Amino acid sequence: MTTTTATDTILALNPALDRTRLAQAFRASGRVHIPSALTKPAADRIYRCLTEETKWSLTFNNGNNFFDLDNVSQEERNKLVFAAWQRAPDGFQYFFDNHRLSRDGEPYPDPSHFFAKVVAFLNSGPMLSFLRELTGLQGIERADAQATLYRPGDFLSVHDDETGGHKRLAAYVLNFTPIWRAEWGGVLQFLGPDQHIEEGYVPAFNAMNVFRVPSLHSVTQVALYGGHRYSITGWFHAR
Amino acid sequence: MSEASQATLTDVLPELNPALDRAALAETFKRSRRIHITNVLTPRSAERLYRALLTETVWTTVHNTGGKRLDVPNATQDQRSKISFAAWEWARSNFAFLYDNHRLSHDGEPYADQSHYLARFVAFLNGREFIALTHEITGLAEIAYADAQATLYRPGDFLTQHDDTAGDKNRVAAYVFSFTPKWKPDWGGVLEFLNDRCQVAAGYVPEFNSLNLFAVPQVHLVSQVALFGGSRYSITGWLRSL
Repeated sequence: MTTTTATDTILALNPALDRTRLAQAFRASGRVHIPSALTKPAADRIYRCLTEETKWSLTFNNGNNFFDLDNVSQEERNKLVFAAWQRAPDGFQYFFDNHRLSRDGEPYPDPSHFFAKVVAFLNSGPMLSFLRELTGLQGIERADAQATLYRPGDFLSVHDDETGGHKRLAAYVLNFTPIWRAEWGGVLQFLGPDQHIEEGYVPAFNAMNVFRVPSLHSVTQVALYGGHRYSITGWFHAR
Repeated sequence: MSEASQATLTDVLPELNPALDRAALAETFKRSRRIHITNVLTPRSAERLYRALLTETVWTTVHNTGGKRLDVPNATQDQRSKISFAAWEWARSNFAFLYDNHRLSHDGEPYADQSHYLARFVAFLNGREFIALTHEITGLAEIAYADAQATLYRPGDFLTQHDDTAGDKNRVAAYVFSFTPKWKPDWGGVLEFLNDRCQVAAGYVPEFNSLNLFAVPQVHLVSQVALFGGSRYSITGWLRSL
């Protein structure tokens, strides 16, 4: 693990974002895809952190049991993914790598890791006020966060983010995938009332997706010919 | 049952659902140059067609690994796995496809075996009534005839992005009749349309007895059927001008 230094990159939103237009888009559909969301140096630095400085765990569910496993061998992962595919046809199922950054807006446990800056940035005044302006949801007070890595075969099936006890107002996904193609899957897909796909956000580099809770959505299975899909994702909560 | 003729005099002919709201469908098509039409055929003719696809069709595996289209009839399970791995590798950085098909009509000509039920569907596609429906919905009066193939996508199968333009084929619009009784959005096999920013502008999930129609050119793809998905049956092709 590397440590951050006083001279490490400052994280900031791209000052050139057209906030008025983005807020209009969000209000029209309850979601928005924001290309070039952060400054270029900020995005590059987070990407480096995700690809070189992150210890990934495997996360998946088996019905209502939720697992986070460290140090899973490739062979063990293969076994587990086959089992998840067996359960997937008819139930809610997810399977990907993650690294927990903040469960409820609290600081990242290791203050010397770059992720500490990421969590602080997500919970900073400028970020929270941007989110309030974007969504019109004045109650937004804090952000939880996890880093995620979807590999070929990984997925998150359709759900709506509503769970008891959490005051989730909006979900977000910061994308850090430099090369991707629509057919590689891993698409953040939104379902319409007719159960067809209303819209889908393809992984990109330095894009931010924000959408209202609840919204029926999924992350489609990364194609077997796809790549590695990196993101930082979570929810903005009320107090 | 074999692939041989099962059509009989008492077999129901393919027939359009008489209750389609054609004016409303045309309005939708005008807005986005594409449309998803549910319950397009009468239930009994859709059931009959599904039976033809499920039990009376011989499938050929098609793919383009290496850049050239290859048809592999009667692939064993073992061959199919090898073909799939090679196709996935090719798909990483090239236009690629992998699925099973059965050619029905190259250029609007009748299906070779007139005693087979699929001959009736080819005749239906090129009949006055269906062609008139496509004119009414798309406003594209130059549509004159339809080519056709039956397709079967299994888990792992896919078709990467393309826009359907082919110099000498006079493709005006593309169509997909979907005959998949049970499906879920998570299972992939979705007909996805991309916008100019390469994001997904809309996606039609496989279902039973629906018709997707879209003007050419339009960048689209069929997403990989999830490894936990099912078998996706359709009859698809282009509506072409003379």
